[in-house]
Amino acid sequence: MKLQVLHPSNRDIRFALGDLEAILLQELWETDGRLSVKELHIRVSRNRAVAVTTVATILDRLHRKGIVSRKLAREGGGHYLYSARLTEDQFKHVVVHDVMGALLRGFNDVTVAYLAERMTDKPTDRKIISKYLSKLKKGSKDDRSS
Amino acid sequence: MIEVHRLFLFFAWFLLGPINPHAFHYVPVALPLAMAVLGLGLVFVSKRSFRGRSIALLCILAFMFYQSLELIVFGLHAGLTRPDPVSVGINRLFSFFLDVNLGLAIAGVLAAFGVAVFLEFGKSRLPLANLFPEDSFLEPPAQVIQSVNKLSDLAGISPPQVSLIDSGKPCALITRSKQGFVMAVSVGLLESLDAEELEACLAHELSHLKNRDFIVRFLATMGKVGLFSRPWGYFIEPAIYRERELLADKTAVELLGRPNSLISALTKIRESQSHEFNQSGSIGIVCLFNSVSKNRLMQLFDKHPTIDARIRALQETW
Repeated sequence: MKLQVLHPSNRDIRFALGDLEAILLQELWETDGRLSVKELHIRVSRNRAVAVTTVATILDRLHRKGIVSRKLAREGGGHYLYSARLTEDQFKHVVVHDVMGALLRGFNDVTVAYLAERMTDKPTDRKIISKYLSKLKKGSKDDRSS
Repeated sequence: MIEVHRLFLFFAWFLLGPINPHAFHYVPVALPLAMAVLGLGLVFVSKRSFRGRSIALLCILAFMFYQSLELIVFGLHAGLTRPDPVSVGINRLFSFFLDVNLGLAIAGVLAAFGVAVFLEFGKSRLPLANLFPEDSFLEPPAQVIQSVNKLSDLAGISPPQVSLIDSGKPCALITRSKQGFVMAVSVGLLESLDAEELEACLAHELSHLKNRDFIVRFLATMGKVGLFSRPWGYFIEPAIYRERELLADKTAVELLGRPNSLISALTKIRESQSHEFNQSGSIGIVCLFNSVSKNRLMQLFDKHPTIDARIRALQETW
C-alpha cells in the first residue's frame, strides 16, 4: 500500500485519503462482495453529486495505491469489480505503521522523546503504551524460554 | 549612422524569421510578410472553419520554414563568394545577429529533418506497448470492435486495430504502430460511458484518421522544430493541434448526426478531470482528452483545447 498525501487535520481515515477516496473505501468495507463502478456510483450519489467518471478515476487511484483490488468482468462490454484489499483495522494499522516508521526513520530522537512524553502526560495514552510494553516484554520472555 | 536596411532586416528577422542579409532585396522580406498577413487574415476570415484555421496556421509556419531554407542557400552562397562589407558600431551588431541567425537557421533545418526521421522511424512507429506497461493490454470487447468497424465504414477509412487498456481512468487514443493505426480505449472509459457516448468518443478518434491529422501534426512539429529560435512556432504548433481536435469533434458529430452524445461524454470527463487525469500528449498520439493547464496563458501552449471550449464549439456549430 502506498500512502501519498497525508491530511493531519482530518481525524478518521481521511487522514491518509482524500474525501471521495474515503467514501468509496467505506462503501467497499460495508459490502462483502465486489462492486462495479456503476454500483458504487449509485451508492455514492445518494449523498453527494458526483460523476461516474470521477468514481472510475478515484477507484483507479485507489488501485494504484494498492488499497483496493479489481477483477475484470467481461459481461456487458467489460468493467471492473472492485473490493477492498484490507479490512478497516488492517488499513489503520498500515497507516500508523507507515507514518510512525517514517517519523522514526527521519526524526528518531524527537519521535521517541515525544512518545515518552505522551506516556507520562496523558493517562489514557499511558495505559495503552504500558499495556503494549508489557505485552512486548511477555513476548520476549516467552521467546527466551522457548 | 544606422543603416536603415539593416535595422529593417533586424526587426523583420525578429518578427518573421530568418532573412537573407547578404543578397538583400525586399522580396525575401515582403513575401513572407505578405504570406503571414494573408495567413492571419485567413485565420480571422475562417473563424468558423477549424480546418481553414489550422491550414492557415500551417501556411505561416511553412513560409517561415521556407525563409530558413532561403537564408541558408543564399546566405552561404553569398557569404562564400561575396563577404558582407565590414560594418561598424550598431550596424556591426545587427550584422552579428544576422550571422548568428544563419547558424540558428542551419541548426533548425537539421533538427527538423532529424525530428522527421525520428517520427517516421522512431517513437511513433513503436507499438503502443512501449507507451503503456506491456501487461496493460487486453482483448477488446466485441461491441467496441463492431462499433469501430461500423464507424470506419461510415467515415470511408479502413478500420484501425483496436486494443483495450487495463486502466480504470477514462481514456481513448489513437496512434501509429508498425502494424498500422491502433485505437485503444481503457476499461475506465467503457464502464463510465453509455453506448452512445462511447460511440461518440470512438468517432472522435476515427475522425483524426479521416482528417489526416497525423500528417498535419507531423508538419506542424517539423515547422516548430525548424524555427526553434523564433517564438512563433511555440504558439502556432499547439494552436494547430487544438484546431484539429475541434475539427475531429465536428467530424465525429457529422458522422453520427447527433452532437449530444459527444457533449454528454465530454461533460462526464470534465467532472473527473478536476480529480485526476493525465494522459500522454506525446507526438504521434492523438488522445481524446489530455489534461489542460488551468492558467489561461499556459493554455496557449496546450495541444488540447479545454473541454469547456470543445463543448462550446459543439453547441455553437450544432
